Amino acid sequence: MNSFFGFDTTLPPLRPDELTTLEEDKADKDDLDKQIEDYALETGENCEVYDFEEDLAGKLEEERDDLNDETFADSKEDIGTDFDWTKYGPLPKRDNEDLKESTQSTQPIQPIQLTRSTISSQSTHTTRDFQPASVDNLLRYPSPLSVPSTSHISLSAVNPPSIPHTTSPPPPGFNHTLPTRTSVSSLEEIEAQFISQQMQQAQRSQRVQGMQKPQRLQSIPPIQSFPQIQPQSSPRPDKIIYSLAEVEAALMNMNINGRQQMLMFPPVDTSFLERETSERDASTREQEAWLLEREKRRLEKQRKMVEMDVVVRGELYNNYLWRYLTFLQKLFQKKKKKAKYNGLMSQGDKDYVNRIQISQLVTDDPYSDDFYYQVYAAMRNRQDPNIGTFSPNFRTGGGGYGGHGGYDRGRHRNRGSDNGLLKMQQQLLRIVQDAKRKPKLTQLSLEGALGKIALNSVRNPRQLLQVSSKHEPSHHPGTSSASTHQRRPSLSLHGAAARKKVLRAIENVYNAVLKLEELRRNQPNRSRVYGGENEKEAFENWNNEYTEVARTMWEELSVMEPTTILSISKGKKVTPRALRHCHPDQILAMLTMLVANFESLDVCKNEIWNQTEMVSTSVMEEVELFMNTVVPPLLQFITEAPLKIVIGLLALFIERNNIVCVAKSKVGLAFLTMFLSRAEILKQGRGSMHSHPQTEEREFLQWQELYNHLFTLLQTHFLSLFPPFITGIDDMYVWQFLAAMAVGASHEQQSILVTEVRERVMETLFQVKLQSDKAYQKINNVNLFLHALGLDASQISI
Amino acid sequence: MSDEQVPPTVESNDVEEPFDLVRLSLDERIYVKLRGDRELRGKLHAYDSHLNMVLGDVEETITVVEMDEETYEEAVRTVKRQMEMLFVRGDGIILVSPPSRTGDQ
Repeated sequence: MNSFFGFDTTLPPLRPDELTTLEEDKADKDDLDKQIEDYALETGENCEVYDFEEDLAGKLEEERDDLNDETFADSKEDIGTDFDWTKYGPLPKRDNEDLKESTQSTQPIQPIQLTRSTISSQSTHTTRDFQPASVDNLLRYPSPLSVPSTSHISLSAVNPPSIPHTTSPPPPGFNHTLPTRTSVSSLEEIEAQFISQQMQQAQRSQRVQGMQKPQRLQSIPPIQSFPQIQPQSSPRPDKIIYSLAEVEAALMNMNINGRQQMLMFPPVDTSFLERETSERDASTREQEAWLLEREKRRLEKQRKMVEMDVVVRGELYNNYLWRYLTFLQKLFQKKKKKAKYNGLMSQGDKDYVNRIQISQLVTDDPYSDDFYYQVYAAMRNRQDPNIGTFSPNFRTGGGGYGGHGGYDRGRHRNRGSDNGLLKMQQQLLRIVQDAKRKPKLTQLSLEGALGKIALNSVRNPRQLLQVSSKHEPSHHPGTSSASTHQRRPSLSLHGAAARKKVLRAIENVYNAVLKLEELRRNQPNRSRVYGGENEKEAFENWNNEYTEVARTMWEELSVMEPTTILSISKGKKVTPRALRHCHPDQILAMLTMLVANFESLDVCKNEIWNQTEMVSTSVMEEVELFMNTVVPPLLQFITEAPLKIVIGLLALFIERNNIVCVAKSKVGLAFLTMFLSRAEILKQGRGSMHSHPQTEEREFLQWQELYNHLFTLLQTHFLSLFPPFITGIDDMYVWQFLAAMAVGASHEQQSILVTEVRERVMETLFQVKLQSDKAYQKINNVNLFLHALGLDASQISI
Repeated sequence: MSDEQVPPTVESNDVEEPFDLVRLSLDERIYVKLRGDRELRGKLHAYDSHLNMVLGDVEETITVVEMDEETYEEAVRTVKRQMEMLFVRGDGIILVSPPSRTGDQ
């Protein structure tokens, strides 16, 4: 028995149909020879080096065809078990290493396909790329089929130096991809010969292991370090009689490596497999199917053995094996079903389908067309910039398939799919450009046609209703007629009508804000001032439009009293976004309006504490919303405001509102705190300021007056500012206010403050003593105030 | 802002098509009546031209009529469900209104 490292290496006998194919191939080969001669004449290349003995070629044919039936799972005949190494029991370590290599040989198979197909296309076109001096070029020639493989691997695979003809058998899928098989195959021989010469020149010694790669394809003659070719057509080996121990060992092996067995090769490099499957190459899938087929047959054989064994040995393996077998069979049937239709679509077909599907999704404006995805992606990227294989601009017009964020371009094995992506990207770019060039047609009128042909798409669905939009201009901020739409709340409108008006105004503000935000995103590059006229013009246009929309928004915003808009929660929500586009003067105007009508604010009037009544949770939510949305931008404005403005606002605040009442609300107190602390900061930084010391002095005097006025107003009410303890509300904001008051207070005022609030301080500290719940926070709150007075909670004994 | 050219028909500016009414209810609680004796009360987060809606903090009320097999008496029963967020497909919607109109919220 011929064996190679314990593996059977003989060929199975050829079936008659295989023999006829071989003869046909031979006939075709003559054609090819002629082609090569032509090519040689044309290029002046010495084709003699490609020549070789006829019988060698014949043998090569045999080698390449003999396993086709098994490979393509067409044959209903039983396939021998000669490839089954597990029957030899647990593999010795040496063999395991070999097997590892053999699994890698699935990779090297493909390069041959690659080069072959390259040559086949060249053989008809006779391009000059086929230079004998550049093996690497040849091998690296970009394959039209996206074959994933590195060139250096392919080189080593095609490089059994001593026997160039014993290249691996054709990969599965060969027949599908290359119908003109014969001419191609002989070119492959040429190539193999050629490579062998190169290698011989290089005098490279060959590792024996390298030769073992094709061992899973058992029909290949053993590759050894001498160039003779083994007799090819030795008879099939005798049926091997398995010993019980062998079967048992094989089974154990299988059970232990259950998963790997499923994937055919016990020591499979799974990462490689994953990569391979990810490449979704049709041939790869077929290969899988073929491997599964083989595995199934092997297992069936084993099962028969085991059945016999089981009779003798009891049902030791029965359960396990059967479960495994049924699973495998199911898996296989599924695979086979799929495999049946593999290769049905050409790459062109796939591209076409892709194009159709993608063209539906292409958009110039991903933010409005795909808003939720954009926001989602942005949020996700913020969490972890590494995730998100497709960046948010996946759909952007210009960017096309913008980024494959986590895509590892360094990996050569991914070159195939990389190419695919690249192609896709180019296609997408084309589609976008086309879409831009063409005006947006909704209908197409053909001459002589009855009726019109509608051009519908996802973005542009068939219109069923034509609603005349008289008020279009008001929605379209580009037109100045928006100003005619000013509506003032008339006093005669009450209840639902007035509310509707406010809601309407808010919606208009939202419209404008969204438009402004979009404009901001698409802002032309300002930095290139000395850019072309076009850029300048573009920026002018953008600027004009932005100003216009901002104006519209401001009008909508100021149509109503800010308090009415801010009394509705979505009005609160839009405020920070709207103020971002406002001029500081506008913010001041708004703040003035707000301060003047503070009492009518819902969060103010509904949230006045009295000792008995609880404030509803919905009101509390509104207050929180107000504090989180409206206050921050205003606070930011105040922290940059000069003292004059602070004085003006506080004076207005005190004058127009019942300050004692307003101060009892959280928002009112927050506003007071805001003014007080800003003034205090300015006061303390007085020395460092240089401008107009006199006016400044006067202002500070003014401020002091105002402060005293406020203090007198609030005197005797300081304690009532606190929310009752029972509400369990964090009273930090009150302590903050008291601290702000205390800092600016005179000695007498400070003592008044302390006397009034003393009760609360004690109570809080007492509570802290009783229950440590939130103790730290509570003490901190109290300390806010005490520190302002130069005291500390630890100094106070209860 | 000081111009007093308040159009006489103020109302017409606010609502020009049915969707304008729905639009005004964004971020507000609404009442939705659905086919199959279902009612929803919740906050309207979003809607589209099919009247598909996203509602938040929804209470669904399903009215079930049970027939007594012997006496043929009908017993009406309501089942209530509470949902944090709900997508409502527009083709099932019969009526949308602010909850204040329905008087039960």
